[in-house]
Amino acid sequence: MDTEEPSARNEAEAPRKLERGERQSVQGTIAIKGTRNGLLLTLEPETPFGDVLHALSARLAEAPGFFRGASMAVDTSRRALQGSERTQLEALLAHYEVSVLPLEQVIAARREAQARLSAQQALPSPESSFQITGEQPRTTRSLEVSEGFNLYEDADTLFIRRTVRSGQAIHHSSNIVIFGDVNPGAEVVAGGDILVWGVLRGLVHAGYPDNQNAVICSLVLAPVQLRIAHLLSRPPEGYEVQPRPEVAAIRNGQIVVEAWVNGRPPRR
Amino acid sequence: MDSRVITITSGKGGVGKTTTTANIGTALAMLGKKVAVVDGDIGLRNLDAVMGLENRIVYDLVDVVEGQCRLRQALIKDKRQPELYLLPAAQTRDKNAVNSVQMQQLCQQLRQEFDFVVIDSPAGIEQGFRNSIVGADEIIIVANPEMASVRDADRIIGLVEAAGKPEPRLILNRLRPEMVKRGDMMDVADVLEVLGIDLLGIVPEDENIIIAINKGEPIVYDRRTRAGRAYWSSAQRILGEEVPLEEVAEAPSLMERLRRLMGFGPALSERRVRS
Repeated sequence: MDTEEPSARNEAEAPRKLERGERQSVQGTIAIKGTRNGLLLTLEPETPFGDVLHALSARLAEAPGFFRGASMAVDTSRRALQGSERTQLEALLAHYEVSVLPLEQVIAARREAQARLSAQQALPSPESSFQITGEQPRTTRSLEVSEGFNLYEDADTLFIRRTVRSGQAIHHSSNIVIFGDVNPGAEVVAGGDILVWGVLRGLVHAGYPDNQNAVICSLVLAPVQLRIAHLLSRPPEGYEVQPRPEVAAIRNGQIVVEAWVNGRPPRR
Repeated sequence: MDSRVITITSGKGGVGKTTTTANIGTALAMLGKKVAVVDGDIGLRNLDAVMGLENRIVYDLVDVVEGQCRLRQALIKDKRQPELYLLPAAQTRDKNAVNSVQMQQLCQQLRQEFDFVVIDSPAGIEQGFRNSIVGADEIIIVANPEMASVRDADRIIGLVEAAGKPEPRLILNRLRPEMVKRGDMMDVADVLEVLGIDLLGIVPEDENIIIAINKGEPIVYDRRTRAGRAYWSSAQRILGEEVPLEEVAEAPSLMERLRRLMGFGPALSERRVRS
């Protein structure tokens, strides 16, 4: 499949135009729910961390008495937290005398619920795992990372149907698929793979923090910087952007970019 | 009355927001509409000078919001257009003198009197910017064909969408056709490739603009100038007229484009300018 650029662009654009305005509300940045084990704080994957912190701070300030002495778990199954972000979050909670529960309890609870669901779903064979065929559009299963890599077995792939613009940050603990471009100044961080059906010009980090099997693919790969797991790479000086789909993956301890032929995943 | 509130914004400073506001506002008035131009740049007001109305200011936007005067008292009638009014910004206050609710109410008030309210936004993404878009029905982004401006415009588009406003339209300002021809400047397609919004107009760089600003006379009065014609046709497009875009420059060759576009990606799409 030698993709013709113009048609590829159009495909990328169609869903974006359609769904424009459906997304993006800054209000629903955080959610606090009561559970049997205490409070559960869920963070939206699509908001800059500053806004998340701001929203949480405002929520805590509303009813400091209510939160004092409570125990809260931070659910990061939808949003990946970086080290410094976690520290800031915990400092804020500590300020309101909220004790932070270990995450495992929350995840265990989620697993249970998920187990019931996934019992009905047979996973596809690893070989067919990354194919984007017409057969299985938009299911998490079709994007599952191969070879018994089950950290993200309950992964819910995040679909973004618009262009991610400068200043917008998307953090998600699983795979991210973007129908649209990723512009310079945008930041996309995924625990799993990142697929951009459009032009990738911003900063992306796949496999955060340590999933070395993660890949980054886009129709045109023109990033400021690529990060996979703990590795970082920049396009070399004088590098010419290739007008074709490409895949970046870790090979022999470094990030390698190659043509994305036939929509096949790269060799691991 | 079916009035429209339009905010002119850019993120980056110095790209021509104020000039655009003055010219679009004036052109709409010349096209027979009743127009108020509002200087949202509290503390750094300029729109009054660009329109040549500086010496007539008695009350300003902050006075209206704080109830020091009535809206009518603060509105300054234009020198030449009988249906064009300016609401100046305060110079001795700052952006935090007004909040979003007050701005919203002000827009409502202006709507009752005018067909068009054109708001000049301050640079930046802080309170002043938020105030300027809160009451707007439409947003026009002004960008220059250079990287910093385009990136800031992109950021602004994201914020505008997040605020629940419709997709903004673009005025590409200060395009230099000779530079584009040599491949030393991003061309229209390059900018649209990144921003992905509709184009409202292309204004070429024109010395006459500087002369016009110094005289306090918007350049749309002089449609022998390229910039004057460009603003005029942009205003016509705002009114829904189908005006073809002036061909300002031919695009550079593909090779040239690829070479200089590191970091912005090549212009691949056949995205055509929609007017």
